[in-house]
Amino acid sequence: MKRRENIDEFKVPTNYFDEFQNHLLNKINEEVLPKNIGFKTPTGYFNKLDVKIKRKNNSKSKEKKLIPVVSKKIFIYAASLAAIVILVFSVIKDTTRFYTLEEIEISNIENFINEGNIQLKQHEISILFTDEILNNMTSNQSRLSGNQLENYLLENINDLNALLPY
Amino acid sequence: MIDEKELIIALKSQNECERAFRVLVNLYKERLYWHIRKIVLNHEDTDDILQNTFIKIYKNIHKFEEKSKLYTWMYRIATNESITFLNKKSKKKNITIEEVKNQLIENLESDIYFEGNQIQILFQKAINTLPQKQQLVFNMKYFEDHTYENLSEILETSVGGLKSSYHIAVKKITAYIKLNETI
Repeated sequence: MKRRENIDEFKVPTNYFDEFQNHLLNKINEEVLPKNIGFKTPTGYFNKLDVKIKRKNNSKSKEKKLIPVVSKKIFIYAASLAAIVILVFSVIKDTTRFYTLEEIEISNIENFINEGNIQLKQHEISILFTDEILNNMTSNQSRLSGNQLENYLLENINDLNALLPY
Repeated sequence: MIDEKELIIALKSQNECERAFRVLVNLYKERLYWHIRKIVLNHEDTDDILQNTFIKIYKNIHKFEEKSKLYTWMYRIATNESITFLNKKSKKKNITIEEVKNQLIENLESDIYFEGNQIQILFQKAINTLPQKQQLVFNMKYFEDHTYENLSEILETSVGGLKSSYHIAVKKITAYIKLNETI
């Protein structure tokens, strides 16, 4: 009579028999490894942990976080230039008084833009630059090596987790 | 048994967040501590990273979209914090992460919070010969007994990939120990 190796009702996980040998070898190899790593903690360490975390969180909240963003600088620079041109033209057109560039404070122009008096679009800013300057800006960005970028992130970004998706 | 969904709701609410956070810390402090300790090896650094991990969890809980389990998300933060710490240390000293960890292993002998013997130091050296991700797979499977499915979520790697990575890790570690024990 032919011996039945399998019972139809019983199933095994996919690839179980293919992986069995690896599992078995792992178990045999693991037997020679230490079961613990010999680390310990100061007495009562875990009891005081939530208080320590609260204290650290409170002190961290008081710190001001500063993250330099290069592209924002470029934008402000470009926007300021655009504003200068627009202001100078409007002044010439509407009054007889002529203002030179030196007479206008950059901070005033920035405030003027920040208060929403001018809505600047990217293409409006880009026409103020020659193709050569724009190309230099682009090629400068592409010259950043992986290492430079990694160094920049490690040194300037406090929370690398913020870059990860949740 | 604390319901995870209720805990998340409480963590995200203004009135209950502090109480819920204490519950969260009590639930996970030991698991996350030992997870971090196995990566950075000494107590002081682990303590610092663990506190930072919980602070990040507290500050970012409102961004947690529940696409994964809460503890998976927390483990990921703890892992990233630990690896970032090692990266910073290696950049600062201008040496590789493996060298940083070798220095940390050498310091174990004089560490008052280490009571292991030479075999356990050799064990750490053997683990340190593995690539960083394989070290995580080995530690989390061998010591923490995560299922491959959990590991797959935390480390964002397929179950098949993790199984073969763990198998190779065990082989490398036992070979290293056998070779160096006899020398």
